[in-house]
Amino acid sequence: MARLTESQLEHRGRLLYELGRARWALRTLLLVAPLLIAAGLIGRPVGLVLALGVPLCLLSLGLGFAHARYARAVLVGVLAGLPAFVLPLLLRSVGIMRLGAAELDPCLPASFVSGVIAGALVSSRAADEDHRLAFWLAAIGVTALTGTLGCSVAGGAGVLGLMAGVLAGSAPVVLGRRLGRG
Amino acid sequence: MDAAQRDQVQEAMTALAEGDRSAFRPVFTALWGVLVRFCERTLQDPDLAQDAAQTALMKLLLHATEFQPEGDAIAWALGFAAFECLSLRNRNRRRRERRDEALLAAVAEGAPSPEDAAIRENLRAAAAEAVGTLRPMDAETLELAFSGERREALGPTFRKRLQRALARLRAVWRHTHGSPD
Repeated sequence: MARLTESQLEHRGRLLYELGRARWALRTLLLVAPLLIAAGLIGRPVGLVLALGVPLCLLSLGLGFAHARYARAVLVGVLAGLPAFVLPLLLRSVGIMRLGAAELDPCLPASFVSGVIAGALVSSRAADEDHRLAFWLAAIGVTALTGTLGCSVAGGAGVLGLMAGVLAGSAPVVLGRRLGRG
Repeated sequence: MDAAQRDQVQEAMTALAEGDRSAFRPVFTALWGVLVRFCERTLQDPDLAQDAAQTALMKLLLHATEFQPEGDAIAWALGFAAFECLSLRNRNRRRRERRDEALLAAVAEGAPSPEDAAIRENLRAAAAEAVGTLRPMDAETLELAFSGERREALGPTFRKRLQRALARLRAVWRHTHGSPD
């Protein structure tokens, strides 16, 4: 290596550090990529998988690159989004349920319930972190993209159900912590 | 480095491994000094030590995210430096060996080896020095005798003179080198 001044060395060291972080952040794709492949294999539309998969990969990479706490948020977000990814797809096979005169798509409550599970999981995990809100937002972003891959079988209503569920699931945890602290 | 400084480095390294960029400068500043000192002590060569410390620090920063907080930051950093010192030392030894092999390969068949040539050159210089201490007449006689002319052709007087000159040369050689041979 050519002899460098200390400031040149520091600059070069910083670049190498960022390169190392970027390389490390690629690990988050090991979590996300199989999910996208699975989505393609279970028959989700390719356009949808690409439209959600590309932002999900970029978000995961960016979060992993930024800080290890956000890489953990990616892990939590993907795990929390798994029920929302799987449940509506499983219930789709049940078909439309008839409740008297009314018809109910089981994917809608399933999206909501899986949203509640995701919200509770992410919020309780975020409570252990120093930067709770940032962690929560990062994890919920990943959950939303992961869950939408599954919940979108019920259309926009399914996605809205998921989001409502996330808020509903987060609220008790947040309130509980606030009350506990008070 | 005292315990407090060591703790600071440990804390900064842990933060940097997590992704806290504000810990970069403290880690860089503290570890650069530690690595340079370690490499200087190991290699006993300031130039080589700088090279080894630079490479070690760059590799350490590239792998900073892999640092485990339960490990010791200084020991981890010295691991990089030790590896670089060893690599540099081995590289230099191999380079020297290759150079020696090339020198040996350059010696023509039948020609004296570099070692023989050096010994012969030393002996020649010592002989010239001993001849230089003789009287001019003795030196001339010896030069004439070793110039290749046949001694028989130079006559009995010359042979007697040569005998005396050689005796004096042997005495000088014995005096300076302790042996007539």
